Amino acid sequence: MKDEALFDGMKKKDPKVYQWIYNQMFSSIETMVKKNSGTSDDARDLFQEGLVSLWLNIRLDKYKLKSGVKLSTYFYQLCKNKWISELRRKKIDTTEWNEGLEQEEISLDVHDEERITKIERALEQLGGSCQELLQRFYYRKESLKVISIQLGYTEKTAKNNKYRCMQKLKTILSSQSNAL
Amino acid sequence: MIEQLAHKIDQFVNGQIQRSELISGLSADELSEVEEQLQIIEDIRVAEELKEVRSQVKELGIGEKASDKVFKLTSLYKYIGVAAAVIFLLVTYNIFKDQGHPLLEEYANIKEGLPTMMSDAQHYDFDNAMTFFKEGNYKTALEKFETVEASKDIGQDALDYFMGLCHFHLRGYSEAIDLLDSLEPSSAYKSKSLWYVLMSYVAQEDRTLVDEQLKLILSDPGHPYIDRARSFQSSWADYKKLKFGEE
Repeated sequence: MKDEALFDGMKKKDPKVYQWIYNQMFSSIETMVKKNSGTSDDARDLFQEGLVSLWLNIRLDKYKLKSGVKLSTYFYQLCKNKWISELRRKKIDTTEWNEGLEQEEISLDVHDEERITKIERALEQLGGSCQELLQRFYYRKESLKVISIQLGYTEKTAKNNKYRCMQKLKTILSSQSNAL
Repeated sequence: MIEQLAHKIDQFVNGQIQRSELISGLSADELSEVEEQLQIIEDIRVAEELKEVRSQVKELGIGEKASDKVFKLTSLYKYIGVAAAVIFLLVTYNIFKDQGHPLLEEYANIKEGLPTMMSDAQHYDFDNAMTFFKEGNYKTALEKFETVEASKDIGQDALDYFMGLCHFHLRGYSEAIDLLDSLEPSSAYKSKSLWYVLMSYVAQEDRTLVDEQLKLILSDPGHPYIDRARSFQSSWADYKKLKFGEE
């Protein structure tokens, strides 16, 4: 499969493309992990996280086809960097390992990933009804009228609740930033 | 952020206005707030998509994510975990058992008064059952009602009506319909029972029966829930239009 097809498939969240990447790439990821203090289970975890990050980087335009880096190379590097971070988190010495595990080969901006993780956490803290309201309005793009009927509110209540939920979400996000 | 500005942002994200219209006349502080909110909205969308991607990735031939595997606990922790899960499920069940069809929350929650002919001690069992009923403990109330014997003061129709309501609140809609439909037209509970039969049809999403039952209620201007029925008629029409594309 060519990079263009992989890129489009990833963008469209096509499971066939995920599977293709798995078939092509898993063994090399597993080898890299096993050579560097990990197990097959670790490799599977890493592969899944790597695939999610790959999608996110494509979604956020952090990886572009014209960047001159092959998608498979980018994915491998992404997994490698994640594995190094994981080992450092576990305070395992990374200086003597195989394959020269340096993180600098490809610039991978983790800032956006962290920001999305923060919003995911904040949405969880927000509670079910607020989460559903914001999700329906902003993600599913349902109108307040539809939402009000589905959730058993009046349209005015749905509008007020949405405003309050958004304010609450901002407060949670801001308290997360202050806690850092 | 003031509400009008929030509304303008919503119009922008829904493609109803252009960016220039959104930001025109804004101060630097307001502009920065708008940018922040737009980023949050975009992040909400990405986070939602991410959920989908995660679940897709989990379904791949990669197998279960190793770190998601449960019961790597010692046996003691395992038992504690199971007990906590059971408690959690019971609590969750009790919290969410009354949530169901979106229209029910607005139209089916009516406080039931006590039957008018309640008085002496022989009605203790019925009183007791009504106490649980009024507390919303429908499972226990149903058990209690089932032990009450009909008398000249507490007719079988009253028992059937309240047992029907218990089934309704416990989401046993077929049982609720059986009991409530069985009431004779002469029963003092008949009119109210028509309403709960209607709500049961709504929960079952049986459009034909909802329409027929609603027509029946609306044909009686003296029905105790006539105003509620009129309001429901409009919500139901909107619901059908949105859910089933029915005009």
